[in-house]
Amino acid sequence: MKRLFCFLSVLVFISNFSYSQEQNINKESYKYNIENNGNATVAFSRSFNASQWQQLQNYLNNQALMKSYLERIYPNRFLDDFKFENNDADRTCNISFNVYGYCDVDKKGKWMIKTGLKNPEITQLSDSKNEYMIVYMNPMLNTQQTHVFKFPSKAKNIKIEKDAFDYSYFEFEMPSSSFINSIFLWTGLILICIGAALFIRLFLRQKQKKSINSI
Amino acid sequence: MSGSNFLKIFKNQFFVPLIIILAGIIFIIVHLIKANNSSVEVKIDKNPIIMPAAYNVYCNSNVLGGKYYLFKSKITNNGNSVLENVIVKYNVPGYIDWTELSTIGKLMPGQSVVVSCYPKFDKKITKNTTESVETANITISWDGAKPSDIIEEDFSFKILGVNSFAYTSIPAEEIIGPSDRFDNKELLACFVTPNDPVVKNYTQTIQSKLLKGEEASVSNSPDEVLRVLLGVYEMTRLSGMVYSGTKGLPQSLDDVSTPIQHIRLPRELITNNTGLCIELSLLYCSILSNMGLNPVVFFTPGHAFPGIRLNDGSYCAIEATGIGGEGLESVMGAEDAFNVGSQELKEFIAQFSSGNQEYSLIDIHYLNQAGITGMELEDNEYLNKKTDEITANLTDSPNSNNNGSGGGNNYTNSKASTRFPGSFSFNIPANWLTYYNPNPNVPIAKAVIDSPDHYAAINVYDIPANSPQNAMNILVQELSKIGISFEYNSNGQNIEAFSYPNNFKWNGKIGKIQGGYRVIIVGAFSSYYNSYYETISKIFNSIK
Repeated sequence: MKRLFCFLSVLVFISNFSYSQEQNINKESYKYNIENNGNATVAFSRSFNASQWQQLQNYLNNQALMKSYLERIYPNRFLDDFKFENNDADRTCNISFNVYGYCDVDKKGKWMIKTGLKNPEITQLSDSKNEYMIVYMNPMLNTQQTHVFKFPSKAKNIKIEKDAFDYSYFEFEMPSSSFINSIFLWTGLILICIGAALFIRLFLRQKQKKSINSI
Repeated sequence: MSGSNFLKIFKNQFFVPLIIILAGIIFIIVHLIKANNSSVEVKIDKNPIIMPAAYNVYCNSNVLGGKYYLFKSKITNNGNSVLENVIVKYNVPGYIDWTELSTIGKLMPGQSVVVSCYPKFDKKITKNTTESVETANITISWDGAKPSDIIEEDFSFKILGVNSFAYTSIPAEEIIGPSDRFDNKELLACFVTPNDPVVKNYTQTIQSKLLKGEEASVSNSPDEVLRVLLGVYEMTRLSGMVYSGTKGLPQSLDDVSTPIQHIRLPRELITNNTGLCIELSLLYCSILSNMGLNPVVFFTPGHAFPGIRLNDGSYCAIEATGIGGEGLESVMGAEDAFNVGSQELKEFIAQFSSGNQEYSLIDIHYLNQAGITGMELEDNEYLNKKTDEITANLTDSPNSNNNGSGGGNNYTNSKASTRFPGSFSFNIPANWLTYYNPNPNVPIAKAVIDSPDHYAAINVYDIPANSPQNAMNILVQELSKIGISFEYNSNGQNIEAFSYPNNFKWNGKIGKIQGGYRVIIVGAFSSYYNSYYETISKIFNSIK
């Protein structure tokens, strides 16, 4: 994830190499919509000043180049479904794409998402218990980045842990769909029980009728 | 069955419960069929080239976002049941025993996970001096998997020799700009070996004999840093080190087409007293890093030169190849080399600032911190003794040019263009490197002449044939044996051609020589053909 942090900021940084000191703080927004199947849709958004917008035209209007950059930012993932939208009037760039296997799964079946950051400021958003936000300032690129992680509604026990190198990661549990998988089994068993109960009831009633008739 | 019998059964009170029981049994059968229907889809993306010099990098998943994997696999559960304890294992026979990469506790229907492999090669891989093709085997199994369910995949990849460096691992069709052609350039930091005992010995000689003590890393004074930089240059010049080329040929590996350069280690430069621009830059980096300074290498089209990042964020640079050699026209003094380096640095900053991707740099200590470290080298008594012998006799070169008149890049063009030997021949541009009999698998290949940046080349084939058509047929046949598809059109003596998968566009001529025909073709990577058009035309017109 950390690599994505630098994406367009690097381009802006390169294009402003000689006078980067004059730049105001740039702001970037990232949203990670994590799906039930462990994939994620990543949405990136950023506005530029007039000068930056002009200088980045060669990159922003070349979707193949942008796709190639994104794939190299996530070298050990599989990406697809790229969408690029540039708003010239607002000088805003919106990119979204799908990341397969965004969540790692450990031996115990717990799901993990690495932040790639040491001791980041993580805030749980008040309006939804399954949304977390990281605000990260990259001083080298003079960029403030806001990352919002939207976990699946089924996700439980979302915790923030640290790995052996002190990098923070999200850990959470996802209920396995074993009940849904065995719906046919349970339906079958219930139907057999109902059928058997009806059969026994009818059998007993018939037996009772016969004994009354014989009296 | 008659209608009255059917009605009798229908009216039978036991019919309904029996139907319900039957439906229940059907549901259970469907469940059992579904439970046994496990379907796992695997997609593997491999790295076709492993460079032994970077063995410390491949095992580190944190380096540059996990860029240097052996393979990455996307595993998707397309079945209807949860797979438990999915285990991914791999091996590379002769290098890595069966190793468990990952155990995935639960893989739910529809879920994908990505497992990447960062292999821990043994240090002995750095003993490889030649390249070899190896196979990686992968197995994926899970609890309750039948033998027929277990997934077995394999792929082949190349392990290069320890001195070989592949500039990119990006497939040819995915390459967009110059930066993609040098996508592996960060791995050059693996050739920077400040802890090599031979380099340490050489550095100490510079510090004691030439500089008579230095405190650049302590004082951080720009003057002192400059004195050290000039001292390193003087050491290479006075020890008689010369500029010389080494093997570097375009190669095709699967979808990847990359220049693979033979890079001599800093210890080999010290003891053999000769080096190419990139090799000299890496030697400087090793020495400067050992001294505690922040070395960098600047890359410009077809060239590399070393420098130092100062504490205030500014840079200084020197033209390390100014040492030239007696066979070249002049040898620059240290100040001239610094002046040339400063001019090159100025040009570099201007181009880099404008976003020109052909200009880039690597900061060795930054890369070291990111996990790209130099290879470990053992002490070698013979090399140390040789280093002592070389540094014991520091003498001023008779060709040394210390008059301060140097400047610009004239020295790189000081080698005049020459004519290729033979009756049917052509002019070789200055600074292009000639390799005779470049490929033992293609005996008709007489020579390859490579441009300094490896984007363009001239190929010479001497073909024993009785007609030009016969010669061309033999050429196509021979190239196909090494996996190169060569498509051509001929018009009399002239040839236009395209070769795959290296994507080279060629122009050339065929001419009679003793015992057959000679085919001379000159070309460049198709994406660079236009920028080389003028050079190619000149060479083409000189074919006589």
